[in-house]
Amino acid sequence: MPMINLRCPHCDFSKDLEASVLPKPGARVNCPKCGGQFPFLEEASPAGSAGEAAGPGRSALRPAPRTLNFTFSGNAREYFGIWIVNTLLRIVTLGIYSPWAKVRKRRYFYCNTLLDGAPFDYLADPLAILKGWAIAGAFFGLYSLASRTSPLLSLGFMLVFFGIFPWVIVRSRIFNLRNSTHRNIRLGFCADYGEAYRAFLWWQLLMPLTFGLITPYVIYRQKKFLVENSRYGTTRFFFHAQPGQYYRIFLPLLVLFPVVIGVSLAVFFLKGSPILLILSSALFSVCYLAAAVYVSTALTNLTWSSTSIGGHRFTCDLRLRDLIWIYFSNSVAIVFTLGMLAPWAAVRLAHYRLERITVCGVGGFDSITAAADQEVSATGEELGDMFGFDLGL
Amino acid sequence: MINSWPAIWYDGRTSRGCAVTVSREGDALRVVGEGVDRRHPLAEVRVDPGLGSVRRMLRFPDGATAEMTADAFLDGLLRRQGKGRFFSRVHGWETSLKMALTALLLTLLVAFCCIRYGIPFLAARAAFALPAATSEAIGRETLQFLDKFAMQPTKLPEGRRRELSRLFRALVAGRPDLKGCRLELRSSPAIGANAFALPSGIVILTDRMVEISTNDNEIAAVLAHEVGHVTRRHALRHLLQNSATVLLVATLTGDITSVTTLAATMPTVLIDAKYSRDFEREADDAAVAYLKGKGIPVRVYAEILARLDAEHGKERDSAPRFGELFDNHPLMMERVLRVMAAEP
Repeated sequence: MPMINLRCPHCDFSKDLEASVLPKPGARVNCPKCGGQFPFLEEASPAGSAGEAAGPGRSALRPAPRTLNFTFSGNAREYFGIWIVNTLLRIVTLGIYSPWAKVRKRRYFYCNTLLDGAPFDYLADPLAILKGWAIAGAFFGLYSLASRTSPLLSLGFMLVFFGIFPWVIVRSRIFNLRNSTHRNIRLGFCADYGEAYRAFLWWQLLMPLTFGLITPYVIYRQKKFLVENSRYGTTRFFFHAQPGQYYRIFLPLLVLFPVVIGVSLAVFFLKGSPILLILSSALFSVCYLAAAVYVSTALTNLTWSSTSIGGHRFTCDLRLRDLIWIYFSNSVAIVFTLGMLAPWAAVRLAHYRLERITVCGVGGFDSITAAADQEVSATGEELGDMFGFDLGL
Repeated sequence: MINSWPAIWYDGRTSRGCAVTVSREGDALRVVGEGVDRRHPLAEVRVDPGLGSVRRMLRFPDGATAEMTADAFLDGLLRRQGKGRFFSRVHGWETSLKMALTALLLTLLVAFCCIRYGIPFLAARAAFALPAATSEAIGRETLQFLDKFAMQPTKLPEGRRRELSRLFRALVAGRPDLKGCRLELRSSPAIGANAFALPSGIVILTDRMVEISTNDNEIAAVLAHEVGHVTRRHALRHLLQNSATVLLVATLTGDITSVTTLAATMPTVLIDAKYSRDFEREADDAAVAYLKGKGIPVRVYAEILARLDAEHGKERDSAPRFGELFDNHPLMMERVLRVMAAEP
């Protein structure tokens, strides 16, 4: 009985199977390792012949996977001009220009992001953003007024905001992905509000009840939701991380926190001088910042590296020490130039982050087909923006 | 044809790109390449205005695009269409170093003028134009909140309370603009020695403040200072100014997102401190004017300020804290000197 080698396009797990147990070509197969689904195609190669050694026939059709790079072609000098003119026009128009400024800035970053030499583009209509901006601005204005006058009213606002938070996330995601294109094909997001409310409200509410023990699992659910509902044209993204991998990220923190808390408590009970107190607080904040950067870096790496699309697997290998250095030197540069180097810092970070992401797979992104779409409003996106949360992967 | 430019053609239905050449034939654009040969009236094609040095697109009505780098050709098309003039000019500004630096200077100038003159002026106009009901509601809510969380009823003896009320009434007597103004006495270990005015004209005096004063002239001076805040509607103006500054700083530092980030709150904290310093000075002037009018030596006000500062200093020593960085400690000495200088 001939053995057939089956390879999962998402996690590269491969297994030799007897030809007789294989399903019909075209059937969907579940990967035993990552759980990802992929169509079983005829090109699965006989065991022992890894593509290149294959004889004549259909098994030779499998070409070698290729690695595609992200590159960033923007520079600080150009972006400084865009940034400062945006700022000036924003002020003299009392903020009305903001949506145009936002689109211009985004377009600069998107159009300078190249995947395999082809740029992305951002096509949001500034007028749609202006409308969303006005609605979100009214909400934010009322909230900030309420928070200064009546604590009860501002609590009410917070509750309303928590209630609509998952909706905001979905709307914002739809708006942003729909308006992002690559090779003139729009990205998109499927509005699954039920799962949004489960991942971003229900599980989130359970977090304090479990003393934060389910936090990694909640993050896993959220990332899974964000990735799996995204698509490029009609091609869906796949997510094949396991909750355990998210727990592993938080393990080192378990060692770190008792140490820091122990030191702080020791200082507190020894009734140290104010200098000792300041030193330990500084130590605490440094540890906190480092831990925050570590967690966000590890999450980004894991999430990207667990994402695939159309048989192409992403890899992201941001390095903690690089990022800590970049964040630190960027903040120093921004503070000491009173913000004038902010554009330089933004470009520098974009450069680093993008160039650590690669996509590996067979065939490239030449055969993605577009989906039929309708217009979406920008209210969710602008509300999310006002309250300062970033929805990057 | 000589005037043809290379481009990458994407039909908008699949992601496959193919190399084509684009040329202008009269009032139409011609795109020729492998499997592509089409003409479009120029008026129907959207041309991306310049942005940095990114690749620009020709966008055709059926959703197809042609990605190009031939900037001069595209600018020529835009001119011919008579479209995108504003953004072509913006692009010119952005790319010229001289213009970008001019924009920088203008930005700083406009922001400075707004913060220094614009916002305080508008806030003052708005504060005096707002109906009394607004500030009454704010004042009531604040008092309720403070009573619940930070203050207890006064522990001063009944006679002393009456004396203080009389003192306050004498201060506001015959002033129609101070109709709703009243004095509230409270005990508050959390606040310590202090006096402050709420937007609705309620002046709060803490027991500790009364204890550290040596005579009623000092108390009268402090109350005159607070009444100065009330007549000038400082509390409401402060609230309006701070809301406006937050918006301005948010506009300045980029997306409104930054409202929540430290980088944006630092300048607002500093501007806030500057505004409250201005208000304190104005109210000090009111107190000095009151004392002079009554023939009381201005020195008594300087003395109570200095004592208040010493009192707060004592609290600081017993519990060192980070907040000290933002404390108005040096400010108080400056105020004392300023009051002393006002003495004839």
